[in-house]
Amino acid sequence: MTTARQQAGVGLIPDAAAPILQISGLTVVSRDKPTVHIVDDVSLTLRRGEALGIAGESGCGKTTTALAIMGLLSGGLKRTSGELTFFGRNGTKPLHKLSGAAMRKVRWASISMVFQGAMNALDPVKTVGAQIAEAIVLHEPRLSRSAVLKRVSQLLDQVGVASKRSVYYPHEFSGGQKQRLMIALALACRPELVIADEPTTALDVITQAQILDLIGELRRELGLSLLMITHDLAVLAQACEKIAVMYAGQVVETGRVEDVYRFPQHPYTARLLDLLGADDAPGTLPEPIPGNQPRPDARPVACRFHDRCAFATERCATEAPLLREVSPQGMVTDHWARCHYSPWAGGRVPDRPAGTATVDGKQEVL
Amino acid sequence: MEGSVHEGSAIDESAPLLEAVGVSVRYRVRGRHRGAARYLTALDGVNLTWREGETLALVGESGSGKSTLGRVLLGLLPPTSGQVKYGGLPITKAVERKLRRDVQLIFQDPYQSLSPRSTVGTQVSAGLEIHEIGERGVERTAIGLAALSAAGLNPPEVYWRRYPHQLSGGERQRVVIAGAMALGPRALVCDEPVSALDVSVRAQVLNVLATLRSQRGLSLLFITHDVRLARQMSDRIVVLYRGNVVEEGSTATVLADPQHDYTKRLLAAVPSVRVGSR
Repeated sequence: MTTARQQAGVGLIPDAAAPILQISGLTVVSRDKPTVHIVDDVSLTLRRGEALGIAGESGCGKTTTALAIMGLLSGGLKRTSGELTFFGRNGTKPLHKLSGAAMRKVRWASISMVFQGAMNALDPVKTVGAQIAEAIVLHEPRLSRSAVLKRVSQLLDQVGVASKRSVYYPHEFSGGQKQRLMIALALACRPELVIADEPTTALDVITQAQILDLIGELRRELGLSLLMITHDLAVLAQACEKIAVMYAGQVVETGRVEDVYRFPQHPYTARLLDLLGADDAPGTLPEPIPGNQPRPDARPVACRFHDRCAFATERCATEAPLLREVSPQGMVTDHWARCHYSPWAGGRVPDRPAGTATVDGKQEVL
Repeated sequence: MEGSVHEGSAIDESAPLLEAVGVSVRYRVRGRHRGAARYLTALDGVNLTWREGETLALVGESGSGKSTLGRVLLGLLPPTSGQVKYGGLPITKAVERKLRRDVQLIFQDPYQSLSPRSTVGTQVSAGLEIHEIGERGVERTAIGLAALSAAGLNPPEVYWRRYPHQLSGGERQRVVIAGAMALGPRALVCDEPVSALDVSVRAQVLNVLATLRSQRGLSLLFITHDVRLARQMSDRIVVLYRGNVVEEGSTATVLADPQHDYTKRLLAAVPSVRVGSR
């Protein structure tokens, strides 16, 4: 598995790299009900060249966070507070303060996005080459026709699609190839940061592995920074150095993938990892988490996970836990969790199933 | 109500539930090759046995023919050559009618398999009407409510009056399961039943299926590219590649010691959560 992760580009970047994107205190509300926080006080830092994965179930706010960064929140949603700072090659930009026109310049040229279900986002009546060229011309209108065509064939090359196929229409490509085309489209204007929303979700495992390898190659070659949104913790483990787990609008745990997967400090993360059932004997099903993630307008007070948590105490129902650093003593691992009882923050979870994650196939005890 | 569907077809209970014997399916595709029509071979002489009470996983990537095989087994698609047998009998009109009722199908996307315009109750009892099970009214309602409850949708009366848009993805898939279970089937064919669902919801739906299996001795067939699902749910795995069965055996054996190169590739492609040493 080591090789699979390295192939996916993991471990390229020293921890000390400068940030490329800083999100601090991002809050997004519904316009109809401004008291309903879809995204609630989210703070995250992405370093240059790094891959950060945001994980969580549908409705946890992960896609809304991505759209807020892109300035693409739909009409019903509104950012009420928080700062989004982009440290680009051409200077630092406060994305939250940019006008529509200024944001359009940043979008695609500096930050681009591979959308969820993107394979169906290609225009069926235009050739794929024309669609990629359109994106380039829109942002670099002074580029000559031959330079644009050259860039299109370069991009197709880069994503592993034969450049002679630029004159084909979307329906002539398979699902995996369409996903490659969407990645080419995202790279069309040479961005520094790519946000990928569930880039492999609709693909079968073999195609998924190929797309993850491609993303890793592109990160290595182009020095891209990556923000990946996914509900699949296994995909995230393969593609990212850092993880942020979201639940009911909040970040509940964040840190390096190795630390979070080996020593989850929030019960929700631990349960999600259990659900992958990676080391269960064949024929055994993991115990599901009881209940469902609450809707944004019906979240429990205090700890939002307490009503589904096997370890919850009265304190969890009355006192909201803060996101606090939980690294073991004497170590700086930048590992944070939002739980009163994180083992490493001195809390003790009663009868916590120790060592829910495994390392190199061995059970490890917390 | 039983009598109406029998019509002289004596299903042999000891024979395999469903059996494919040398099944091939060829699709005519656009264009010609040297003047002759072109065909795409989706299934190439496939033999498959699905025994009563067995949970079988049909595994393969997109285009391997696994969904085509599922449709052939259910009598929804006639094979170009070869034969399907239900309980030892070839699929005649009468056998087909029984098959339709006894073996139910669950699709991948619960957002598409439910009508947005009808209530859960209407949709769960629709199959009862088609197969003329029970009396219209009170009896059918009772069967439908029991099915909702068995699928973990409690209290069923509340769900009965709801519309699909008022439900979560996991609840919708359970409505689909309830609709299938209302007909009292012997078996379910599940085509990627959880791949559109979140991990935690996925576990809930799989647990519902596992409970129904153990309570009612249901036979299950999973059509999936998800090796994790096959590992968690199946007794036996059949690996399809380009319309051929390349490997089959007990789940534990195939996963621990895959023989065919394609199976090895498929297993290696599954991302692991192990993030130990670099």
